[in-house]
Amino acid sequence: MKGEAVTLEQIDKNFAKTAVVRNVSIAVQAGEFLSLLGPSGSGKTTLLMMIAGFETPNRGRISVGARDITFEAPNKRDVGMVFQKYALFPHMTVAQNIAFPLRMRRFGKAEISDRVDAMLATVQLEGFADRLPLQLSGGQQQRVALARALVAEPPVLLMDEPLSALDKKLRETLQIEIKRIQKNLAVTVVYVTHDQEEALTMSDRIAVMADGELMQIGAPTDLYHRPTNAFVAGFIGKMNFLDGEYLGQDGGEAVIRLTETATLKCPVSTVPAAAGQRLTIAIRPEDVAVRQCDGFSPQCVRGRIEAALFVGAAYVILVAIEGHSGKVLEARFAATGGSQPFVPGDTVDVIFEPHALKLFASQQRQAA
Amino acid sequence: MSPDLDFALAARQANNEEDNLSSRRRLSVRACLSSAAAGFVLFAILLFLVLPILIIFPMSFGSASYLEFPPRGLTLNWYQHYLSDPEWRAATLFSVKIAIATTFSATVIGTLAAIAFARGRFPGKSLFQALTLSPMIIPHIVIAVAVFIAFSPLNLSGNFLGFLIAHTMLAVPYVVLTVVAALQRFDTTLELAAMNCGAGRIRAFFSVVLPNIRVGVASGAVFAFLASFDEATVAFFLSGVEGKTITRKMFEDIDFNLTPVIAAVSVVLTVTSLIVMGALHLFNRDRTSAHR
Amino acid sequence: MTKPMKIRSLTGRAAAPMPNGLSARQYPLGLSLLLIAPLFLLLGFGFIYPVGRLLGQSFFAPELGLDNYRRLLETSLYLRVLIRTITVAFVVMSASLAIGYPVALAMARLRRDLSSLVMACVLLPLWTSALVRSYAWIVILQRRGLVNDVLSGLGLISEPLKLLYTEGAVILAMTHVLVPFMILPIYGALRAIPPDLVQAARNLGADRVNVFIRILLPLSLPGVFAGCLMTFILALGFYVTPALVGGPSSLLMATLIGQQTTETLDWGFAGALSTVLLLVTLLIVILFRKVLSHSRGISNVA
Ligand SMILES: Nc1ncnc2c1ncn2[C@@H]1O[C@H](COP(=O)(O)OP(=O)(O)OP(=O)(O)O)[C@@H](O)[C@H]1O
Ligand SMILES: [Mg+2]
Repeated sequence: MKGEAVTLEQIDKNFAKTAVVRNVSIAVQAGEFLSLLGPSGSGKTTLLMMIAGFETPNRGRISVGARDITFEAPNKRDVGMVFQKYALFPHMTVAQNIAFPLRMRRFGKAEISDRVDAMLATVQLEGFADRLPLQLSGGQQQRVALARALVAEPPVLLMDEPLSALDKKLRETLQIEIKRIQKNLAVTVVYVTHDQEEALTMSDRIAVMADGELMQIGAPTDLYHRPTNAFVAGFIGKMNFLDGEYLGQDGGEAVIRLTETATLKCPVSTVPAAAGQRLTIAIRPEDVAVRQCDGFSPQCVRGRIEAALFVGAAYVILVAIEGHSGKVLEARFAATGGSQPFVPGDTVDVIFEPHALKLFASQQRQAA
Repeated sequence: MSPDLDFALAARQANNEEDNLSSRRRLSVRACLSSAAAGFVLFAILLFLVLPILIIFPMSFGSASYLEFPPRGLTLNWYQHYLSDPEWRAATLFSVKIAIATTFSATVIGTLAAIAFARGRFPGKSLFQALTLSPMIIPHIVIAVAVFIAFSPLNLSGNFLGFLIAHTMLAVPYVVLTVVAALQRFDTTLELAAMNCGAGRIRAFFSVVLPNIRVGVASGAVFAFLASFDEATVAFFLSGVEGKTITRKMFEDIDFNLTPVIAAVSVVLTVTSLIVMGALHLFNRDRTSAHR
Repeated sequence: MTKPMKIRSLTGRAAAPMPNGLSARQYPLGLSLLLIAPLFLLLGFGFIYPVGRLLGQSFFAPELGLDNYRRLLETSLYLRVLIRTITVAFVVMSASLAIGYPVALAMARLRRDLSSLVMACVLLPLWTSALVRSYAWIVILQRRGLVNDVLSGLGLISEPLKLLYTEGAVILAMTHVLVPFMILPIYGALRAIPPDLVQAARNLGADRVNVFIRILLPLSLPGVFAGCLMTFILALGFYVTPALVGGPSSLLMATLIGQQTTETLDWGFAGALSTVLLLVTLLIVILFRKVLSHSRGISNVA
């Protein structure tokens, strides 16, 4: 069995005139693990429902491989799905649940039983064939749901927050297991999750959604290091946003005024603002360097330590920048023995590494 | 705290408690009296509820040919009468046939409609829902007379088909109510899951929806059976000389020929109802316990 | 997976493709219509047509006009029957409430085994045919019936009392037949009251009487109204019991309609009587609805 590509082209979906998905185009490659990530209500489930055929888009085209399935009946799509609350049939045993897709496809008795056994082995539930779903733990039910979705070997597997009801430890175990099974079967997976860490560790690519729109799609490292908008920058990982004024280009570098006394240089040529306009500067906490004040240096702003925290692997300090009315800036650096080098109240220099700076138009939506 | 003080406090408390206790005792005597009175009232009401039904049982075994309570001798005569009288037998058979057919048609029609009400969308849905339930609210005498007048010219009175239509119409609301309630408890995601597994609407219904709303459908079917089998008003008007239900026959005999045979028939009717309801109860308990 | 497996295409009948923007959670229009079609035909032929025809006949038979209604309104006998029907229904409803509320309360608040016993005592009559129960009352109330037997056995009466075929007999038997329809809704409402509400009230110092008056009673009102509505409208149109235990002096609408249909064969007048009975029923339903929605507001606040 091989995974097939899933193509979404310019999908719109309205519920009673409210646009819930707007002009979304995504090309999932065959065998790819793609996560849909976004805040609650951003339209992830709706998108999945449309691929599964439970909802029909108001505009656009959905295809699997070369098949256009936009208006195909749900039972004809050959797209497996793991539901958020598993949706196991309560009146059927584990084995009957897993056999159900095969029975619908009119497989012979012997083959059904072979495949169910093989699937039970794959999800490591060999002894549980005759249990009813309600006699299983959450993690076991989740495995049964996965087995049922995969047993007919669909080229595409959809999963809607399949691990959200489980505790953290079990979640991590199952993440690895799902990944392993996906690799073995080479099935294309579209995976909805709230949990960005889950998305980052499992996915080949992540599509970030907000308010029904696709904000960015790319590999986890792309999204992390090269977000194309302020929303993604703030949604994936931690990010500091500072308000600044774009002064103009100087030798291939953008010059930005952060405070009355401090300007920053940033080695980018395309700036999302005209000279004299305000924009948003973004920098990750681990890219902010802080040191004891020792007079002026370039890319440097004066600040005052508001709080200094030890969070295990790292120190986190919160700095209020002198002459800047914005939020406090978070800096984070590895805790390599010794003790916290800063105390609240210290005046420090905050240094912005030029290559770590990202510039966004100032009116852009940011993640809450 | 010093032991002295401790003691003093305890004494005060004991004192208080004594005060409390005496007032509470007075209260509790009153409470006892009032709850004894309440128990007596409840007992009297319960007797009023069940006694009229219970006395039929000994009466049906009484040996006197007129009504007599308590009966002097015991006999199965009246049951034998009932079983050997061709009129009673015909009426019973007719009623049973109608009730079984009504159960079937009301359950099928009502379940289909309940699905449409719970999950479908069509214009005038709420109006039609109200119309479906209205046979429960509209006086049965009006329905009975209306059906009698409308069906007589069509040769549908005193006839199986006429009864089937009328009783199905009376029984359908029970099925619709119980099945809609069951469908509202049913998680529609399960149906989506079935379709995702490759089942069409129809197969999804039979293999996933129906097994999960079984209790509702079974309850509806039992109510439908009783709504037909015990029905007397429509049966009174719609019965003919040939097609006569057991209730109509009983009605006539109560008016003109009040013998203990009627007590025997009453026992048969009541026991049938109890058996059917008891079976439903067992069925439902089995279903729910199987899911635990 | 270890074995090579072939992919097989899906078989089985296709569900119709959904038009743009529809959801699979809801059945499409065509299927919905198909599902209600049998019921529609049944109600159309078995309910709307007969009832419509009966009501229509009141204006057409024997001739076009309001003669039937004029006759109804101008004959004091018929007016008295109408008023008696409403009065009897009201009395039956009140009696059912008086008898039913304590039972419902007991069912909701008693120990489990005791409350099941009470429940059985309520369900037994409910599952027994009204015909059987009317018969039972005949046996009890007739001249040589149980009551007269006992009374004369005790030497309290010398002549058997005339109990049967009186209005009192009708009310008594109808109350017995209808009281379960009062008990069950009230029980439902009482059961829905969370037990910790009662405990909280006791904890705040309310005694049993206060708990009942301030908590249980107001919160059970919706059930009371539902039960009253049910018993009232059932009593208005009840045929079997009044026909069997009532006499000419206690003639009710239902019996009158029956007589006009089978004895005088005056179907136009039967239609007029039915129309009036239906209107009264409808009026009662609307009235109760109004009160019910009002009481919902109250019980939500309480
Ligand atoms: N059947 C429906 N009818 C009307 N609105 C709906 C329906 N289903 C979803 N919506 C709305 O569509 C929007 C997107 O919902 P969706 O379930 O796709 O969000 P989501 O990204 O999956 O959110 P979550 O992470 O909370 O699951 C929400 O605002 C929701 O209220
Ligand atoms: Mg969702």
